[in-house]
Amino acid sequence: MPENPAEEFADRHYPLQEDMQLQRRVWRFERIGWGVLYLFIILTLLGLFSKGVLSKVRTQNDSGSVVVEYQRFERNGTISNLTLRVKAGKDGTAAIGLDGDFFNNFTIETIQPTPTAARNQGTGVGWVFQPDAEGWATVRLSMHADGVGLVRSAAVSADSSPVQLTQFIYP
Amino acid sequence: MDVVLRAAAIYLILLIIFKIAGRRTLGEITTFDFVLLLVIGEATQQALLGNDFSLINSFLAIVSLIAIDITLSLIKERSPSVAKLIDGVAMIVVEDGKLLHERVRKARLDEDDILTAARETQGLERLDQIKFAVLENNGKISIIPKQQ
Repeated sequence: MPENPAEEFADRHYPLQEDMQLQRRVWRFERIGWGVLYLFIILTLLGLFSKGVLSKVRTQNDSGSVVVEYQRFERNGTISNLTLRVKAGKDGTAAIGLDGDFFNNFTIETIQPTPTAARNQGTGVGWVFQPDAEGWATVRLSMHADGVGLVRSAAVSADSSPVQLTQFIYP
Repeated sequence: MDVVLRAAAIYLILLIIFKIAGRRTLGEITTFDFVLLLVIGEATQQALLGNDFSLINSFLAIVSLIAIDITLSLIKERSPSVAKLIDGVAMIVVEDGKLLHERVRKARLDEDDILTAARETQGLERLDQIKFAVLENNGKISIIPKQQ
């Protein structure tokens, strides 16, 4: 015999005082919470929290002479990679740098290949690399995120327009 | 400074996630649940301490966690409604030998769980020997047998 649900969810007072209204709210909270957990898993797999299709960015400047690949979403304390591809200038060397906002939020751990020269460039650092036979230099940086929050920085090349980088570092 | 914030964040996150998981999830602990808890602890530890493995950092983390816990218990003592919200409320699942089906289903229990508790705690064999079965707010099922 099916129970009357309304009667079943009425508060009992003996042997204990129930609060079925709160209990039903708790159940609703649980159900919504499960949805949120699954949503987090899906977003994580998609890369909202770094490493995934939502996170990976490939961008270049107007002339296409500087191409940057990086993670849009970073995590504080974690090492990630950034790749710069730079076309060599008239002097046969490839010069590229990153501005001060980048260095305020990231510490570079390694830089490959080793630059032939490094110098201060505005508030940041600029490097010079030997390009390959086609006139391109590919530079891989491994960096450690120190900051938290939104970071707007730029990859700056002496003789072409800069590439703007927008990143978010999770705490 | 950040260790206090880390501890507070971890405390809040764990509180919410375990509320979402519901009282049944880790109420009756099996070996697997126990291992799962250890792994959760391991995952938490990194975020709690960061890269700082100094004695003072772990001391501060422990102090912060315990202090937050004490604060919460004081708030619960002052305000019964907060206590109910955080701890949950007990609920009857068997009344005079009759299973309250909808409640049991919503609480992710079944008849077997109640009969197991009845056997373990009271040595009862059937549902009709139970006067009340109560799902307590700690996730355990307590059984009040009928007077023979």
